[in-house]
Amino acid sequence: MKIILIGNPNVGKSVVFSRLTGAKVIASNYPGTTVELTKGCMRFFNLQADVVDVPGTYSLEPTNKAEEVAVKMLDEADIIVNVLDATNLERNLYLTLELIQKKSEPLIVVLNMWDETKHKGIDIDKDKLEKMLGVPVIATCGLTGEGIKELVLKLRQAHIPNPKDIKGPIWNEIGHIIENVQKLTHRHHSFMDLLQDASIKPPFSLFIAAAVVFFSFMVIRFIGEGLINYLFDPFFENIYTPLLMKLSMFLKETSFLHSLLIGNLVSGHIDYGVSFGILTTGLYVPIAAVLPYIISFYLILGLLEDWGYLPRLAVLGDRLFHRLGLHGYAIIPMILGLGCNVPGALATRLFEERKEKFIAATLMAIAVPCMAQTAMIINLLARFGGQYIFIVFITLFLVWLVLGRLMSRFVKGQSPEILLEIPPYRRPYLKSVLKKLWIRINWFIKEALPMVLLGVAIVNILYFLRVVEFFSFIFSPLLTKVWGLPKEAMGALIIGFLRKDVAVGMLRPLNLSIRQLIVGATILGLYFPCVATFTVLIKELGIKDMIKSIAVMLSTAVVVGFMLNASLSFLGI
Amino acid sequence: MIISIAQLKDGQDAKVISVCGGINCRRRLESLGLREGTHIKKIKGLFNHGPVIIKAGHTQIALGKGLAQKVMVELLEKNELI
Repeated sequence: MKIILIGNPNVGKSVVFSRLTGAKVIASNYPGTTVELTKGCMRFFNLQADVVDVPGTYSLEPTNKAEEVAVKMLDEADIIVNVLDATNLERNLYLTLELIQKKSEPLIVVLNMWDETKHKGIDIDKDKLEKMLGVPVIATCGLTGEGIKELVLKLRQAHIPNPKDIKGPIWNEIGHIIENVQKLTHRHHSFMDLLQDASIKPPFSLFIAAAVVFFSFMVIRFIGEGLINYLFDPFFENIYTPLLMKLSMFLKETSFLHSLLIGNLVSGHIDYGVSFGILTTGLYVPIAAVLPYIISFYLILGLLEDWGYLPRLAVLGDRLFHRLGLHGYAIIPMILGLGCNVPGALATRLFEERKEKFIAATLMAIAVPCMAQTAMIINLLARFGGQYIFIVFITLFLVWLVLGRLMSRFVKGQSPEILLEIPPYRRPYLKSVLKKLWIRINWFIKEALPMVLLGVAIVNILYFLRVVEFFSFIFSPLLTKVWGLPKEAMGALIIGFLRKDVAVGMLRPLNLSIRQLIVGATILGLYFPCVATFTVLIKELGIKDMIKSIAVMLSTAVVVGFMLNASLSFLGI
Repeated sequence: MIISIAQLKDGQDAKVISVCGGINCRRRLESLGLREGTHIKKIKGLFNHGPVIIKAGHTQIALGKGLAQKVMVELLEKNELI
């Protein structure tokens, strides 16, 4: 038995889905949060039913890949649950009537966000709507879980609609239905409305955007640093290090196992930045250096997502993105990419044209450092001063701008214009923000942590087998002459294919000058995506475009590395 | 007088008369509720060539300037307002 949840974007399908199945899925307040199919199961009158959450779509004629997936999935449905935003009944009914006309699976209609209709002065006669549509209609509030029980009970009453119930063009029929079931009462503007208007209309909107971005950065740094200085570092220093020292004694410093697990001791001590054993640097990097920033970043991102600010930022940034051959909504993959490039790459499914997909994916993979990489760049450079961290990020930003401009000129194809529904502001619901944070942390621990450990293990094995030496020899002209790096930096470039955070960490034991550290950290960001992003990009772009994209990445790394090294030495850094 | 959404002034109410452009463009706009007969209110046109923000029903929609030029509207008289 398969139950498919379908509906317009941003009506709360994912929230209803997690209520039905108990599955943990990411839900936010902007259209296009879900770009993949998510499957879960539920008990349903002693039956096991598979429930599928699909990307939102406005109609049965898909305009992008995410919608295509959603519409295709309908053919497998035993029951279709059509989720509607009750505050936007008129627009949402279009898909409902299409489903009634064109599909012959049992259908049930869910009016979600029912609680919001009251604040907005919308009165819907649910029973009348049920009669007019000829299928069961249930009112729910996904966030609080109201109405979900009724939905489960009534699933069995879902039945095949009669297409003859719809006479004439769909929009005429919708007008007829709306006239009969919906009454609007006038209502005064609330504080939220005023705030909504202010964050769209310049010049205030620009101040608000600047303030939101600035405070987000400050808070992310504050929480991240706080967690490191007061929680993770003391834990590692005071509790974990003594344990490891015992192990080190037991293993003997010269054994292979010692160099694999503990790594090199620095004058008899473990140095988490330099030792490079699986249990030392391998655990320290993901847990003490990266995880705190993952926590703080995703906490703030979750709040902004649920508040509904991202679509506003997209509108304000639209002009800038146009110059890069994109439109404002490309801010979504970029911001998600700042957390992790994988969801960033997946979000390019929201674009319909090949050109904008290619540009967005390539720019994101090249110039948007993931939080793991950012955290390690901070870890690497902070001791020398914040200005050096700034140089790395301003370089990445300039690459993003210039490369985007070039690609918009030279990549063939069209760049469509923005057409975006702007959801109302909603007060973030603490429980769902924390739940979403937990999903993302959990994902990092499950997916990234093993890769980091593997990465550190491979570093040791490659050095042991002298593979790094071999590649260093081959690429030494590029490394030394063009980028001004020692040929030993090759090890970091090799590991960068696997994990960027470990790769940035590998620069530390090389005793590089500050200029070399800056150039090395920047190149590690530019030259190639990590393996997880790479796999997703191949799937999203196809082999041919992926090869082109990689050609862009590699040549950018060569050119920018050279220019950065030259200009830094000109500046005397 | 028939003008495009792009020419509409901020805060004006209007009724959509026709949507020019290809079938895909029309379909996209229609699925967001922008079609002949829709009552809209222009909230703001951003900068000189930025997107235009309108309200149709209870939905706020941002559309690029080029798209906004394709949606032709007629100003609503006071007594036609809801």
